Order: sequence, then C-alpha cells, then structure tokens
Amino acid sequence: MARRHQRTWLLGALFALPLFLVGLSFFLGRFPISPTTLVRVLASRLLPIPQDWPDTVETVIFNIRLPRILLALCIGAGLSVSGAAFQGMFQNPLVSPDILGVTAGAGFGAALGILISGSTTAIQASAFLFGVLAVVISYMISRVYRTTPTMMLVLSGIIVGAIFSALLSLIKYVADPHQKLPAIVFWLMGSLAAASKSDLMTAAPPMLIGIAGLLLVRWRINILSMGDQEARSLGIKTDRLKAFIIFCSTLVTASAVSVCGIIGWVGLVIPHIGRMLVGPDHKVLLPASVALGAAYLILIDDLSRTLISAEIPLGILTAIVGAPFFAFLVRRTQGGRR
Amino acid sequence: MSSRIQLSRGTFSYGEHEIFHDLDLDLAAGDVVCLLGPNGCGKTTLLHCLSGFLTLDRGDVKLEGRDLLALSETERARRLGFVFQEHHIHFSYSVSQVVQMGRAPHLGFLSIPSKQDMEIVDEALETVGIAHLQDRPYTEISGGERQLTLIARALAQKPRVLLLDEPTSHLDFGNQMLILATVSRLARKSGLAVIMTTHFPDHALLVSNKVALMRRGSFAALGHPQDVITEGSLRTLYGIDVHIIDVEHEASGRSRAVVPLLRRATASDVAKIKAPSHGSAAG
Repeated sequence: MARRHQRTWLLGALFALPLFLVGLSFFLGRFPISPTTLVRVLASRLLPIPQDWPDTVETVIFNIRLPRILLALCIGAGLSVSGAAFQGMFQNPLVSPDILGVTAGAGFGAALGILISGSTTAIQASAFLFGVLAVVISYMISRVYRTTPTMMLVLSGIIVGAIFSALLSLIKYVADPHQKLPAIVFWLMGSLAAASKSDLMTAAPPMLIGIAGLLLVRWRINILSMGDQEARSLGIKTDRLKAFIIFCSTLVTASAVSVCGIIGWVGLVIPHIGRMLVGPDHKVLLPASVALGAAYLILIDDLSRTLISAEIPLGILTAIVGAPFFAFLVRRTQGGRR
Repeated sequence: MSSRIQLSRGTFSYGEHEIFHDLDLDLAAGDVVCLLGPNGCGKTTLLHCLSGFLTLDRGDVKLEGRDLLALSETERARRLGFVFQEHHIHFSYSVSQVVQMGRAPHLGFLSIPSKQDMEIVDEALETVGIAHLQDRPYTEISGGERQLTLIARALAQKPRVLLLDEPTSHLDFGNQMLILATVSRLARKSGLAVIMTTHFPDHALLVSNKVALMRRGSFAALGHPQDVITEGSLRTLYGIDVHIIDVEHEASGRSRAVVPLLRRATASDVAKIKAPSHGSAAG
C-alpha cells in the first residue's frame, strides 16, 4: 500500500514537471516578458482586464511562444508514448516509433513537397500522407496467413524504410542545390522555430487522438508483450490490438514529423527513463512517458533557442543529448530489461 | 457427469505430415489426464488443438458441450486456461502484474483491472501459495515459482479446463512435486478438468486418474494409470526396459513407481529415436 502511495506521488510530480516547464518557457527568448505581464495577458483572454501592454507582447505570447511550447509538449508526449507502446508490442526495448518506416516516408514526402511546391501546407500534407503510406505498406507486406507476426513487421519496416530513404536521396540529388536542397536538409534536421498557430491547429488534434487511443489500451500492451500465442490464450485478439496500436502511433508520429521534421531519439530514450522510474507495467509507464516526453522536448526546445544566438535544429540536439544519455541508461539497466 | 472438454475423432496434420488421427478424449470436472509419449509424438500439438490455437483437420472439440471453434477467443479464454512451457519474457513485470493478465478475457477492450479483479488476482495467488511473491519481479524468481505464477494467471481466468504443457520440465525434484500437488489439489477442490503433458510416468501415477499413451499419432492406451502404465506399455512407448514396483508406506499407503533400467543401446534403438529432441512440434 505504501508503495502505491509513493507511486501516486511520483506520477503527480511527473505531471507537474511539464507544466512547470511550460510556464518557464514563456520567458525564454529575445523579447523580454515579465511574469506579471504574462499572467495578465493570459488572463485577459478569460477575464475583462484592460490592455496596458503593447500589441507586440500579445503577438509574441499567443502567436509565437504559445504554439511553439504546446507543439513541443504534444510532440514530445506523442513520440514518447508511441515509443513505449511499440517497445511493448514488439517485445523489445530497443524499438522506436519509426520502426515501421513512418519517418522515412514522411521525410520523403516533405522533400517531395518542397521540390514541387514549397508551400507549408503542401509540405505538411505530403509528409503526413507518405508517412502513413510507408506504414500501410509495411503492414501489408507483413500480413501472412491473415496474421501479423512481429518479426515480419520489423523486417518489412526495415525494407520500406530503406526504399523511402533511397527515394529521399534521389530527390536531394535532383533538387536545385541553391534553394530546394538546403530547404530539404534543414527540414530533415527537425525544428520548431517556424511553429505557428495553424501548425498547432492541424497537428495537435490527430496527435491527441493517437495519444488518447494508446492510453486507453495501455494495460493490454502488457499482455501483448508476452508474445502472440500467450496473448491469444488470454483472449486477446492480437491482430486487432496490433492494428489499433499501429494506427494510433502512426497518427501521432506522422503528424509530429509533418510539422516539425525528423526528431529522433525521443521515442527511444523516454520510455527507458519511464521504466527506470515507474517500472515496466504499461498501465503506469504510458502516462509517465507522456509527462516525461512532454517535459523533455520542451526542455530541448528551450535549449535549442537559447544556447547560441542562432537556433540549433531540434533533431541535432535530441541526438546529441539523447544518444549519450541512452548509453548511460542501457548500461545502468542492462539493456533496458529491468 | 457432464463433460468439461470432449475431443471426438480428432485428426491433425502439418501439410502432408499427419501428427495424429481419430483421437477421442473426454474429461469431467476433477479429472486429471496425463499425456505421455516420446518426443515429437504430438502431445503439444494436441494441446494446441484442444485450446483452439490450431484447428483440427477432422473431428471436433466441445468445451462444456459447445463447439470450440464457435467460441470467440475471449469466450474460450474464460473457460480454458493454458500454461505454456518455459517462455521468454522481455520486461520485468511483478508477479502480481503477470497474474493480472489472466483477467483480460473478463474485461472490455478499453478497461483495466478493477478492485474486484485485483481480489480475484490475490485469491489466485493465495490458492497456489505465492501471495508473498506478488511484488517480486517475475524475471527474478525461481523456475518453480514462475510455473506457479503462470498457473495462478490461468486460475485468474476462472477457467473450467486447465491445459498444462510439461509443467514439471526444467524444475528440481522439490518443485516438481510442488507443482503436481498444486495441480492435484486444484482438480480435487475447484473441480477443474486438467490435461497435462509430461515425460515422467511417475508423475502420471501420482496425480492423474486417466493416462493417455500417445504413439504414432494415436492413443496406444487410454485409461486408469495403474492399468495403462505397465512394463510392457512403457517398453513399446519409449523403447526401454523398466521395472514397476509397488511400495508400501505407513503414512501414504501404497504407491507405485517406475524404475528405468540402463542398458546398452543397440544400433536399432538409435535408429528408432529419429525425432529431434528439440523439434518445433516436439511434445
């Protein structure tokens, strides 16, 4: 009982962390905003407070910082919870959300969008569609005898990822090296620098739906992680559950990648930290991953806009911070199995 | 007495290769049936057909009078628990978390175990006597304790029939008896119908009230263990010589034991052992 108490306390602290970071992040940036102004501006949306601050402050808060912080929160939470769900489903703690080729597909889609149009909407739509398409192809290749064996999913994910990476290279090769190619390269590095209100409006709803879906089946992931046959003996319709998890996770990852580019390592590292803190039970691990992932990406994004005077692309930072940290973690947890 | 699980004229093949044909088996509440037979004779395949993982080519399985194939996976799991042989586990769930999984067939797609479910889990842990292990990681307990955990998980399903695939293999002497005593008690007290495969004729003598000797795709014998397990039948089944002795004991009364005899294997013996000992369908 004392143990359960302790865990409630821990989860509470975990969820307080991203909220604290959200608050803090409003003050970071070149335009200084005082705490009182921030509270008054935010409250003015709900309460009748007379405006005694310049319009620029309002623009900075609502059109620049708020969408960026909330996007970082959703993307961090989404990638982490997808990663945790996939690691359970694939019975392997070294799996990340892009194992079925979603990021490779989305990367190709975005590059194609940049090549033929260049408008933000076209790039985002193309990235999302090709991300989903890559997963659909992986899933179809892996279907044998009306079942989806986990090993087949992994293999077909590798195949599809390789094909889309090759196609991406082809686009880079033919792209105009002065304008299009740099745009593609920067996009692939991943960034929230251009995050806007409309990005938030398009990407957040599908991400939230995917996250909610995964949270709803979180306990069943425990059973799925025992292997297909055992899960079936416990009455689980494994194919239906797998398809549902892949659907939710793809919704999250494809939406995330389509607005901010490729951000690696989050979906791999965060579930490990979660497992270290709350244990392997997916009933608790998934909510913990949501909180940790949100906090982590907000923090990384804060670093990316404050470390040096120029922005550091997010994808570079998540790898530079994430990879060594992961090395430390797997050494401590002996492969992430405990 | 009404039948818990009934197999009629069961026939199964992997492609061209027939595993067994025209098997009949019928269990009532409290029955413990042991399946004995050499490696690769199809014991595990038979269990998989009885549980619905594999579909018979001919014949049918009735679970409490209802056709097994007409039941959904969830409905099957409410009536039938399956304890697998040693398996790989990738995350260090606690013993209690593993047993909780047994509640899945009683829960909706989006539900998680409720307080009532947790009570059933605790009860299952009590029944097999591992309540004190509930918070220990499943990956760090002994083989016997794991086997008990898996039995507790099957009990949490509240099944009417329990299938166990070599529950005593890989276990030390003491743990073997612990598992057998548990199985026997469950059949007697909870009225479960139990089918288990084993490589030990002694185990069948200890716990079962019916034994099936499986050889070349059919039951060479099926009946009461004292009648079925004989020096002659074991010689045919395994190709070895045994003595069967009865022991009088003050405390436990009469018991029967199988004493295998070591003799030099001949070339024809070696030729007989053609099935690989770790083949995929090996039982």
